[in-house]
Amino acid sequence: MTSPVTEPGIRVDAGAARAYVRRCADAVRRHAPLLTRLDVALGDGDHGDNLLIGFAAVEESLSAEPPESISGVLSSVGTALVASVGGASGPLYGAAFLEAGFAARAADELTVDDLARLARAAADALARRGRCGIGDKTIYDALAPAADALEQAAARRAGFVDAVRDATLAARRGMRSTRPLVARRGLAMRLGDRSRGHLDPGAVSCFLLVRALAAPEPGPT
Amino acid sequence: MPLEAERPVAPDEHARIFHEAQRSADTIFSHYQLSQLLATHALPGTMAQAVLDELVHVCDAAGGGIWLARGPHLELELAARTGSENPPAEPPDPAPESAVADEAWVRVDLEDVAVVALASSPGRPIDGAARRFLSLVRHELAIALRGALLREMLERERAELAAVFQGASDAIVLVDADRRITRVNPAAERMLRRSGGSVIGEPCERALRCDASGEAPPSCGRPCPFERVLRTGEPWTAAERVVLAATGEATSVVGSYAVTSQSPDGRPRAVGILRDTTELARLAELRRGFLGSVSHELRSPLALIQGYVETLLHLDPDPASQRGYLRRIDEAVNRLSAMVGQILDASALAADQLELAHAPVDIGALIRDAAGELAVRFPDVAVDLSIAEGLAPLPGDRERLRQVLDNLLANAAKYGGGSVQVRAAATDDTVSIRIEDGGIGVPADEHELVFEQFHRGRNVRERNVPGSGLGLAISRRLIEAHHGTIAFDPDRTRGSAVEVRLPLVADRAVTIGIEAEGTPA
Repeated sequence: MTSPVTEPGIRVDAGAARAYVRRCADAVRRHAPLLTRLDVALGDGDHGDNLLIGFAAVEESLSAEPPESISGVLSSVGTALVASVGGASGPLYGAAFLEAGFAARAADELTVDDLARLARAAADALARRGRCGIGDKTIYDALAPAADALEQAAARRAGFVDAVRDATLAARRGMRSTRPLVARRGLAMRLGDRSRGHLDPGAVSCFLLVRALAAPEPGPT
Repeated sequence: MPLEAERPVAPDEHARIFHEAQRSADTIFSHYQLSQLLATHALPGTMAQAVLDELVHVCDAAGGGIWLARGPHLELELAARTGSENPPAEPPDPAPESAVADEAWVRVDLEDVAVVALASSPGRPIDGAARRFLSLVRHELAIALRGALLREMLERERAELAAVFQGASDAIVLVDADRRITRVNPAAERMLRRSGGSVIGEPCERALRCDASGEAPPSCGRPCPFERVLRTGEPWTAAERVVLAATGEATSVVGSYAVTSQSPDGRPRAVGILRDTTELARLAELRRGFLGSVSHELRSPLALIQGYVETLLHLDPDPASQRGYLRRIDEAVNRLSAMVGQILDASALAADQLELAHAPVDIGALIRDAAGELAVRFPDVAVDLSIAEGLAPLPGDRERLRQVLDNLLANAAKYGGGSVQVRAAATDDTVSIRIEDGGIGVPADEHELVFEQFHRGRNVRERNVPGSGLGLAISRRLIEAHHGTIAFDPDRTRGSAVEVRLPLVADRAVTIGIEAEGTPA
């Protein structure tokens, strides 16, 4: 009943959530070399590979036993990432997806309000686990603005298309904001001032995952 | 179906289990973050602070501090602190039970490298799990912090050595076991007139141009000093030899050579420290010139004085002869005194910054004054003046310019065969003063040399005219300090013509280090 009437045909349900996860996996496959290249400059050069491994595990777990709820899909993604990824990105993205899954509770379908709430829960979990804030040159620099944008979109009762577009733009701005920053968390911290001038690979992968929200598939799968 | 606010939430038990699992995952991730941190190459301050922040979080403490043994006597210094309102300046007592006030401190000594201490907040003591964690990671902490301290020390030493290497005025050249250049300092780049990057990897004999053949000056010599120290392992100081720059300039050097560290393949490397002795050689040459000409010039008037004085003492000449002898003694003393004055002047000019007055000088009046005095000193010499009307005043030092004029006029009178012409004229920006005589002249191949200290023209030496060989050197330095030029007219066939040009524009500073200017081109 809170489904946006302006966007008939868009239903954000478990099927849409599974489709979203598949788009995430596609984006990671497409951009893994870029992520790894960025990580060579700042970290240990495995961010692309780690996410490839993580999302391969995610797809396997989803296809082996497709969860029937949104919460189940997101929790399953989180669990697979935590269990399969060796670097920091697994536990961090894992925390975000698990919290989002928990926040989704028993909902069968999400409103823009719900989506904003899930994004906020994911961002908070990530900040708690990574103990990072805005400006630390991390995933959070892209994720938090996206959550903000979704909340604002929900507040003005925008539809999914607008809300997701705003979130993507905000994540892109957040991702770009990491270039001049000095890393304060993670391996890049050791570089000190030399971490300036490079995009944070985590912020880039986060932008990709936020962008994958776009084009939600209409109707149940 | 859409999510609704009034819908019953997940059972409390489910939430509790979920959050507990998330928290324990957070803790595991904190351990991961800490281990990642310990593996970084951060310097002590950064490392200590980051480690402390992590520990305070993992152990759920209120704050804490890390003290590192990093002073000159490895005394403990507070390197990081967080949270605690009043962190102790010293690490807290090892026995946490005795802690005062509201804070209870847990202290971990890290193998004499550091002390980590965490403070609990009131009512929330640091628990057994945290203490166990601290004792589990203490070795890793010690290794990481010791590594950070070592890195800091190495970085400091590297910076100091780099400053020595970069700033040394001696050229420093490093070669590998095959005598290929691995590093040169800026002084070596200047000596070789090449950038460091272009020299790296070249065999030393090519970089230092030891292989220059034909008419090249004796080059860096054989056996190669690098070859020698690499073979024997013993340091060696080589006698003077010559290094050729890329542009052909030869530099006399004295080199100290030694074997340095081994390269990763276990073969020795060598360093050569080359001191430029060109200037020393030039000074030695000057000293020889000084001893040769000046000692003679000083001794002959002394001998004259001695002779006349002995005559006066022992032969009791008549009063007329006595006056004659005394006049000659007076002349000889004046000559000596003038010569000593010039020598002092020349050495003062060489040693000091020359402070010039900078006031308008009426150059016409100055020439007339000098010519008037010359007529008194040399009554037999005819002086012909031709000074252009309305010469603009020249910015400069009146006394110093007068000194130059006196010197040039006296030369013309001394060697000039009885007549001297002085012409002064001006263009928009230059005053030129030309002094001509019809005397013995300066041989064309010595037009430049006579401006060197102690150099005297060979025709002058042959004729035994007394002089110190300093007048023209002093004159050139003074004129150059006024940004002017002084030179003999190369086309003059009879006698000599020397021309001084002085700029009328006073836009340049006139405080000039004479010796620092180097040899004029």
